[in-house]
Order: sequence, then C-alpha cells, then structure tokens
Amino acid sequence: MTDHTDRPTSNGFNTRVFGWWACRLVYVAAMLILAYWLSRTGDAFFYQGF
Amino acid sequence: MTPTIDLTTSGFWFIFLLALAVLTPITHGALRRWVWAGVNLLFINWLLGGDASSMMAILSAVVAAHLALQLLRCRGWRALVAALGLACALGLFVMHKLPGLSQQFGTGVVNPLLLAVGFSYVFLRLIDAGRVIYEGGRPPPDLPSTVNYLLPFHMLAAGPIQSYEQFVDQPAVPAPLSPRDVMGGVERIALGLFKKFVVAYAIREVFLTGFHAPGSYVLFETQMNYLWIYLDFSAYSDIAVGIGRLMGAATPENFDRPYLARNLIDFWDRWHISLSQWIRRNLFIPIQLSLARKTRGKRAMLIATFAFTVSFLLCGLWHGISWPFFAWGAMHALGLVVTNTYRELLTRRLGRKGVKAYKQKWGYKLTAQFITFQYVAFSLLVISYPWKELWA
Repeated sequence: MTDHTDRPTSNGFNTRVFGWWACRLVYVAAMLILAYWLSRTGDAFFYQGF
Repeated sequence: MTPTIDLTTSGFWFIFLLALAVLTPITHGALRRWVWAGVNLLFINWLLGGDASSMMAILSAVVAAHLALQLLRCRGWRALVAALGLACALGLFVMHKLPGLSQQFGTGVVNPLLLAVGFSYVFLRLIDAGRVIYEGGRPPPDLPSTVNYLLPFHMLAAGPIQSYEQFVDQPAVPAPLSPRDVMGGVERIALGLFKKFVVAYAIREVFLTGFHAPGSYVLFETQMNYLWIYLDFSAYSDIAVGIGRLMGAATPENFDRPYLARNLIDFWDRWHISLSQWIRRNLFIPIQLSLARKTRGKRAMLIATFAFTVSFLLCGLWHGISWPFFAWGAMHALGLVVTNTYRELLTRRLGRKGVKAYKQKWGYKLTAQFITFQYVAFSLLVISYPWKELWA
C-alpha cells in the first residue's frame, strides 16, 4: 500500500506535513512555557541528592 | 552552601547549549571525547562555585579512578586493585549516605563534593566499569572517557545509570542530527519539564500532605504519592534522554509505563530500568552463577530466592542507609521471591502453553496490575511516611 501523507503538492508544499510539524511545535512550546512559569517555585527532584 | 544540580537555574541550560554548540560540529572522535570531558568538568566547576581546591580534589579522584581502572587489566595486580578500589568506593559511599558519621570521623569536608557529583550514581558506574574491565569484557577508558563515563553532566543528579558496555560501544562520533531528531530531543526535554513542573507539581500541591491528613485519606495519598514519585522521577529521565539525544551521547531509557506491570518482576523491567539492569549485571547474575557452580545446578529456586533477597536488600540500602529503605528493599525482595515461586508453581501445574493462555485473560491482567500497583504504592509509603515525627 502506498502512503500518500508525505506527497507534496505541485509547488512542493505539503500541507499535512507542515500542519503536523506546526502542531508539534505549538504543543512543545506550550509545555515549555508552562513548565518555565511554574519552575520558579524551585521544586527539587525527588531522586536528587540520592 | 551545599551544591546540588538545579534544573531551574539558567547555568544548567547555558552549559547544555554550550555543549551542544561545541560538540555538534566536531567530527574527530578523540577531540570530541576531550571537549565532552571539558564540558562535564566545566559543569562541576560551576556547581562548586568555581572553588579551585574542590575542583582539584575532584580531578585527583578522577585520575585515581582512571589509574585503578587501567590496573584492573594487569594480571598480577588486578585482584588487589579490585579489593582496594571497592573498599575505597564503599567507604566514600557510606560517607555520602551517612554525613553525620562522616562529620564524626572528621571527613565531613568531602560530603559537599560527593553530593555535587551525585556519588550514589558515580559509585554504581564505577563498580560496573570495574567489573567489566576485570572480566575482560571491554578495555579500560582513556582519561577523557573516564570523566565522560563517571561524570556525565546530564546524568549526574538522578541517572540513568549507563552500563559501561553501552558507553564503550556507542560510536565515537554520532550520526548527524536530522530535524526529526532535533524535534524528538526537544520534545522529550519539554515533556520532562512539563511532567515535573506542571503535572507532578500540581499533584503535590493539591493531593499530598506529607501523610499528615487525618483518617483514611492516607490510603488515597498513598496512590497519589506513587503517581507523584513516578512523574517526578521519570521527568528527570525524560530530560536526560532528550539532552543525550541532542548531544549524541547514549543515554538509556529508565521507565516503560510501570503502572501497567502485572507482577514485581515485570515492574522492575519497567521502573528505574537502568538500576534494575545494574542489579542484574552486578549482583543477581554473579550471585546466582556463583551458587549454581557450587551446587552444580541443583536447588535453582533456593538460589534465585537468595539472589533476589541479597540484591534487593542492597538495593534498599543503596537508596538510603536507614530502616525505612531497608524495609522497602525487603518488601521488594519478598515480592520478587513470591512472584518467582508462583510463576514456577503455575508452570508446573498448567504447563507453558497453559500459563500463556492464563495470562491472556482480562480478569488476570487487571487483577495482577491492581495488586502490583498497590504493593508498589505501599512500599513507597514506607519510605515516604514521616516515621520520625511518629516516634518523636
């Protein structure tokens, strides 16, 4: 079976691939921003210093 | 001030970005090893606040460890070096775990250094390398590789514990990073930070009381405590794996959905995997093989029972030289022995095909997962409960 998801359009632009990467970037950025915001609590790791 | 690795400081992330910037373009294996060693030492120097005498002590210890690992190859010396090296490492380990005792013996000045380098993990890496070199499994490391194996900055605080074989076998120069690799590494770091500073933090703030809440809340808090420890610890491993992936430094996986484990043997294949594999390589298998040779292969179950018990009592004491950790180790040893015995009896009764069919049943799966989850959660209660307040 052929996988069509990575096939680019005639101008070389693939909307699905671009959309997937854009969603991933937004989700990673959201995780980093939230983590940075709450990291100011200075919470230590449980296993740290074992 | 006691130096500890804090991921909330910009220094850690600055050194990570510096490592990434200087290591990525290097395509010469030896140069890469030296630069990587320089980055690791720079990180420790930053941790120690640039204190020259502390740094000299760390460097001297690394050189001593390097020479000891070289001597493990010399036929006439290796038994003596192994015994002396093990005694020194054990001495430092006890000093690290019992700082009060260390103060009494006048060696308390070493404790901040041991804490800074995360000596519990260095100790395990040193034993692993020593055993492999002693058995002739791999050659000893050169000086920069000694630094890179014992003191990798992204695995210092809480592992994972890389095996010496994996460290030696990784390519001298990693394959160039593709955009997919970069995204995968960044995503893993972000996931780790999110798990630690958002999810685990929220669970701790909302549900955990340090077991001070009255009544039956302790039962609920036991479940939340397990979840919190898992999220917190696996978060650090995610960050370490992500950093390792971006820098091309092999970093072993440490967790594989442990809450799905169906028994304690399965649990230890999913929880703190690098530690359980270390125990297997350096305690369980050597004990089992040694006893099997002495008994000529007889009494396999008794030998396995003994090997599980010794391995996990020592595992408990590695976490902390205290009664709660000893009890935690004993609980896991008991659970592993019961699982192993039950598995043997079940195989005798149902046969291998029968056991396979039995394990496919939904009722078995869910019950086994529930019991294992509860057993682990209550074993963690033993080390998390404020016993000192109870006895005070």
